[in-house]
Amino acid sequence: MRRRPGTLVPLEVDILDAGLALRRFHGFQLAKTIAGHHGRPGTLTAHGTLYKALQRLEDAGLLASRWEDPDLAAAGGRPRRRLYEVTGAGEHALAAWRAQQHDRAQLRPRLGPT
Amino acid sequence: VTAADRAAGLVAWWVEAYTRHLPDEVAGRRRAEVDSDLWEQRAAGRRAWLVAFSILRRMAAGMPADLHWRHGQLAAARGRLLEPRARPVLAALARNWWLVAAALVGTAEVVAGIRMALAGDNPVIGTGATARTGTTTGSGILIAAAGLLLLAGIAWRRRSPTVAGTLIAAGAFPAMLLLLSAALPAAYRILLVKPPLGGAGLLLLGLLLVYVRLRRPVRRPPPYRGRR
Repeated sequence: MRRRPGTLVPLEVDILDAGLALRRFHGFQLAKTIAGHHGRPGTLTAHGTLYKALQRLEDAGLLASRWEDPDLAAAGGRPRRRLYEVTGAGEHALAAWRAQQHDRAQLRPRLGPT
Repeated sequence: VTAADRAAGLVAWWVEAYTRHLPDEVAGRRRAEVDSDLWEQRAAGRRAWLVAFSILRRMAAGMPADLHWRHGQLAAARGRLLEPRARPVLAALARNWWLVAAALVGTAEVVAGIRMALAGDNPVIGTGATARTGTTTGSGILIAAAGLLLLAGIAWRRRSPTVAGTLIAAGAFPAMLLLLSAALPAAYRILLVKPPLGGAGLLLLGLLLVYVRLRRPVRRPPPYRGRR
């Protein structure tokens, strides 16, 4: 299904929301935060879904990312992390989405049940 | 080696499989990211079998997204082969080659149909009949009309892919007959136009091909432009 430009799907809202709280984050950390936020700490977002959404948001300019310093990773004895940050445009997109939801919620009681 | 390690190995194999033949930079990034994720999850988990279960569930649930992502990356890589800025005409041709081909077929049908109607030249079952008769005139008009249908389908494709697909497939019918007649020995050429089922089968095949072509997914996601 083709999506209307400028809209955010629930996972993207979750990513931006959690990303703003974490400030700088990597994929697994984000999946864990989102699962915790939904009260299901054991149910992490699938790899394919998560990394595809991260790339989509980055392509749209809502996230920025870079590889972690290899020395830091080596010191920790682990693979390098890809570190993401929510950009100003990402913050703005989330605020706009919330405002839109707020407007809709206010409009609904006036229109009555459909 | 724990159950979680085995599950991680399976995921690594899957990532390797769906990133195969993608550009090195794209494939490398995805492999490294999932590798890091798998390491972090195993490091954070307490019970190996629970971690293994979670890793496998994440892999299975993400498979459709993985395949869709691969499809998009392959399409983007093909688009990049012809740098749009450097060779805009070639890049546009690479993206729309089938439309160009369809337009050529449509134009050829219109020209051949008019020629056939006026001069009696029959391009479908051979050029033996050169005298203008009622049959050749009628057939020529039909072929020219089919060419016009095809061209109308091309013009209509942005408004309704389904209508456009139907028009293009129906319009391409005479050209398909011609191609098949060229491929078949002369004695069997008449089979193409005689049995109605054969003709209907060709039409359905054409419809299917055009439908598949028109329903291809969008190559690049639309850019975000903030709130509308």
